[in-house]
Amino acid sequence: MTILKFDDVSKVFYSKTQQTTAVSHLSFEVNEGEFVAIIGPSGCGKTTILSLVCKLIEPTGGKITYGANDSNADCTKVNETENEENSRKSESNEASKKGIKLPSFLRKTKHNKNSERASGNAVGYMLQRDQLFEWRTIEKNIVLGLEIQNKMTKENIEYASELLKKYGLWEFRKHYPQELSGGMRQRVALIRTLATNPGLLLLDEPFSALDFQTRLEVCDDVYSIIKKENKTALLVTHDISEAISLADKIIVLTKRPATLLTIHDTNMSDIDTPLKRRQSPTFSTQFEQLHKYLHGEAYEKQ
Amino acid sequence: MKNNKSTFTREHLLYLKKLRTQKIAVHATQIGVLIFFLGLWELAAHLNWIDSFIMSCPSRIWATLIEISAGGTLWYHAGVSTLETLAGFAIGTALGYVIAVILWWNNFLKDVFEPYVVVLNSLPKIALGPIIIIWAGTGKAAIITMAVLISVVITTITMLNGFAETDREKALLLRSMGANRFQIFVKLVAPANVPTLMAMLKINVGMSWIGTIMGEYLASKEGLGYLLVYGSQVFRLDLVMTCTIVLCALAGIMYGLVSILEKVVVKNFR
Repeated sequence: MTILKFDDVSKVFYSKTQQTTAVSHLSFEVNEGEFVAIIGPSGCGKTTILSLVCKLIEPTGGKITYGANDSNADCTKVNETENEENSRKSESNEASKKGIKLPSFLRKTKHNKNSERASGNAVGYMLQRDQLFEWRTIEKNIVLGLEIQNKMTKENIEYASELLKKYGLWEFRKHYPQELSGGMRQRVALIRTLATNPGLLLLDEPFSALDFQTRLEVCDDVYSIIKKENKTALLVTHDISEAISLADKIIVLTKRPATLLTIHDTNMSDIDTPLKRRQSPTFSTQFEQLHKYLHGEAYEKQ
Repeated sequence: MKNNKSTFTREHLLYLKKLRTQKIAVHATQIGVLIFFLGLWELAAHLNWIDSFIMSCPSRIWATLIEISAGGTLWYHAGVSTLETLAGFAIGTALGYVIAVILWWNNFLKDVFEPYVVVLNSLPKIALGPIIIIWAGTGKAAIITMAVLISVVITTITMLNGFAETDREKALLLRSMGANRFQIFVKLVAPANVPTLMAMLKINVGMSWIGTIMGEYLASKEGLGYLLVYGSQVFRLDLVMTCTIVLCALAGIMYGLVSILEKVVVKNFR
């Protein structure tokens, strides 16, 4: 099943002096259970793509669809909730445009009626730095998304606590973020993202703030958590080796404006950890191949 | 971190002892400086190095303090000033905070009112004294208005800066979770700016005292500012000095209370 589909998407930014095309006619798909990476030269509009997926900004052209195709009868339920969410979103958008504060009871999602747990339809965004709130304890940090989405049900809180237990952070639940190591904080950030049970995880260079040693460890951690929780993930990075070691499918972008250069399959799903993938014989050939794509392309443009 | 003293190493205990000794040394020196200064002042007055009629001296201040506190005069005037200051402090801080929230909330309003705020901030508020007296009379209302005026603009500016400097990435995270502006304020901007607010409270202790005393200089029949002006007009410098010292003590106590509040709030209510 397709979780996310970009169909000929473009995004143009305007400023006083110029207009910049960040993304140009981009099409790709992310299927359920896949780990997809997007790589490209730095400043090629990767973060723009994530903001588009998060609905933080609207595309200038093209269409972004979530969940299944509209015609797919099996997934009507998914679409219903989706539409509901959309209409609610546009409502609140309109309201905020007019400067009207929407009381929280109006924002309440109807998900709770349909299912005990959160719907798994939304997108979970994990940013470059962990962005833990230093005045909240770990257990308060991981329910932030639930608080925002008014999903503070007993089941959801229990699910978040279970994740803490499962991934070795339970004894730190009363601690504050500054008492934890960089790797642990990143794990907390991942659990916070997972707590709302999003259908799609967005990872924006989530390891770039860590030193190399920790990065390899956390990379393994995050990968295994995502696989165990059976999540679909979209990773954005400029680190080719990270993309190869994590992803099933790599979308290679050109320099700004970002267009699709190629889609590369890593074919390493039989190898179960990123670290082991780095040691696989095909790793370096793949690395060279992708490196050539990125830089060969850069030369041509110059 | 919870640590039992018995688990400390000998070196650690020595270190703690050193810290304690240093702290005691600082306090002892502080008291020493005060005693030296007061002693010198008293001595200078007794040996006629200075004219104690104009400069006063500690023993005369002490006698005046006993005299006016026994008669109840001091308590009455100090009470009036403290109440006016507290009112100005509370209203000024709350109003400034609310205005800052409104300007943070609505960028259009912020753009519109920014120059006005800047001008109001540069304006010496005492220049408004005559207007305030005409509009609000010569009673408590005028003095509280002055205290409010002095603290409200700086509160607005400081809080608005704090709000604007709140981590954008964290706001992005909340927006990606679907948060509206109200939620971003409650979950992120307000708690992130608790330290700013606490620093502001400390500044406003001083601001509202300035406002109150200035207000009482301009127009009043009661309060420490009135007593100060009265003292200087009848050339009772003992009274002026005594009032000044009482003012120091009151402002110090208020500052101390705000510090305690800060510790409690930062620890428990974020």
